[in-house]
Amino acid sequence: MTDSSVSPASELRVVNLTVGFNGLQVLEDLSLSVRRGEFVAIVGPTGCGKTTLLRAMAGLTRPTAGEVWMNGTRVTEPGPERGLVFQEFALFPWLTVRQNVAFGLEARGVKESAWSEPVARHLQMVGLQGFEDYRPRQLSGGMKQRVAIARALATQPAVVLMDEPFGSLDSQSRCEMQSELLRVWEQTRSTIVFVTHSVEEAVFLADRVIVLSARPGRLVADLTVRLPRIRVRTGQEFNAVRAKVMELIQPSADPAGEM
Amino acid sequence: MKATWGIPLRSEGEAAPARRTGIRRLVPRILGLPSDVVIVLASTLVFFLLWQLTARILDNPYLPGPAQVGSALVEALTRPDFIGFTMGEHILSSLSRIVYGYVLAAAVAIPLGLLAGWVRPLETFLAPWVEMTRPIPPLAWIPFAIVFFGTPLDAVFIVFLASFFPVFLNTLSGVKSVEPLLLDAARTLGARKTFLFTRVILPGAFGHISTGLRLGLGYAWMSIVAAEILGVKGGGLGIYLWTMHEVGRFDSVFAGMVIVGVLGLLLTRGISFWRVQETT
Repeated sequence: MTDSSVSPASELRVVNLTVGFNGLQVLEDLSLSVRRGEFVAIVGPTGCGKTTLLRAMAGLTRPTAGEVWMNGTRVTEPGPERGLVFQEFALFPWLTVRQNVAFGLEARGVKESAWSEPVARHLQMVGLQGFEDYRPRQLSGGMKQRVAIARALATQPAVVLMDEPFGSLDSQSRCEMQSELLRVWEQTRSTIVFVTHSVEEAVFLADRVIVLSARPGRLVADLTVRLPRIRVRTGQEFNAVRAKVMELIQPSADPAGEM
Repeated sequence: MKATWGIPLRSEGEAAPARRTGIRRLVPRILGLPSDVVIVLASTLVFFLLWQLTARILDNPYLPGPAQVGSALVEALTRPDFIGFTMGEHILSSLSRIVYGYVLAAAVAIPLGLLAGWVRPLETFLAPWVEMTRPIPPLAWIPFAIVFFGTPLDAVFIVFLASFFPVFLNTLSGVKSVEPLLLDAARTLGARKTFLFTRVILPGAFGHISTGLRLGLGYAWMSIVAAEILGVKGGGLGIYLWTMHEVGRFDSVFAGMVIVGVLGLLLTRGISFWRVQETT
């Protein structure tokens, strides 16, 4: 079992990554690196390849050129040290909340006697105690995403990749989930790469905001957000950072005007 | 593919309309019963009246009235026929043929469907076979089956053919309908081939598989009676029908039809009940 607190400096590196599908260039010559314990948000106009970048990091999408490195090992397939949280939750509808969260541990051959404690702990971490035996369809969107987060964290990955996890939630549960995520992140101290189309969300959450251009996605900016947490969305400094990121996104989004 | 063997009334759980609209307004409330129940009762009554009337007017020995069929039904259920078979024995022989053919079909079709859905080249390889054999009605195989397999394997073979395709094709489409997103999620959680198959593909395809099993059973039942009539030997409901036809006992022929219908209904209802139980 990997334990994020004792594992060696986990560093995710993307080197000259290019991804294309059937001649359509989605990402072009993109390089970036994520330090251990860092919370990095990736923003950019719709269709800029944010999701593709995340899937390449997860090992689900094969690069056309370039590579992804994790802790000095080249990523060629999904691995237990990289968890992924999907926008659409992707919970197994035939499993209970508890069984969903246990899935990754069971896949690794962990027996119930050994997984029941960590599963319970992670369910508690996301505030789902009491809902262990519910099926996904009985839960609200926010609760489903809590299950998905607990499921990704249960295997204690060094890096958690999140693909617009709160994109389908209403604004109230979205804000609530953002604060919850920060709390969980502080507890687990895992590295988070968070894709979002909401600049506000990125600035609220992340240590660093990476801005991609419209398709094909290239690196436009890599901004460090130096505001102390918990950040105040209405604060002047917050809005200054937000405006700056917005400005970086807009010029590349306008001329393309696609999707 | 959808097949409803019975007339759907109103699905359970669906609320009765708040206002009595259209034709329902014309139906009087009798004994405080809901209007749908009244309509169904009336429809049943009209059916038997029409039957009785037609039988009376035509006065044809081949079309007995409901009363005659009713007493033939009692006779069929309580006394052995003139060959010496009881109705229970007929039912049992038909059912055992069904069970062997159907279980065999499911035992081959489910694993094969799962595999073909999972391994793309296998699906492509099997496609011509399926496309060539599927359009041939199972009953068209009877002349061959009778001489090639002989009793009782001929009937098992016919039932096998009838139920194989719905089970196989539904299993195949079940595997292919598993959301790619769920497979991605499972893979990022560390699931490898076997685990992925047993924990994601199989449960994900379960709904389709049970639909295939239900349809397959319906087809099996339809084919067995025809197969028995067309020459399969031994006891069986189809054989009962045909024997009674031969001796001109048409009240018994109709009584046999009623039994076939009721059993068919019980079989398919039974398995859909099982399906509902499994999925909720």
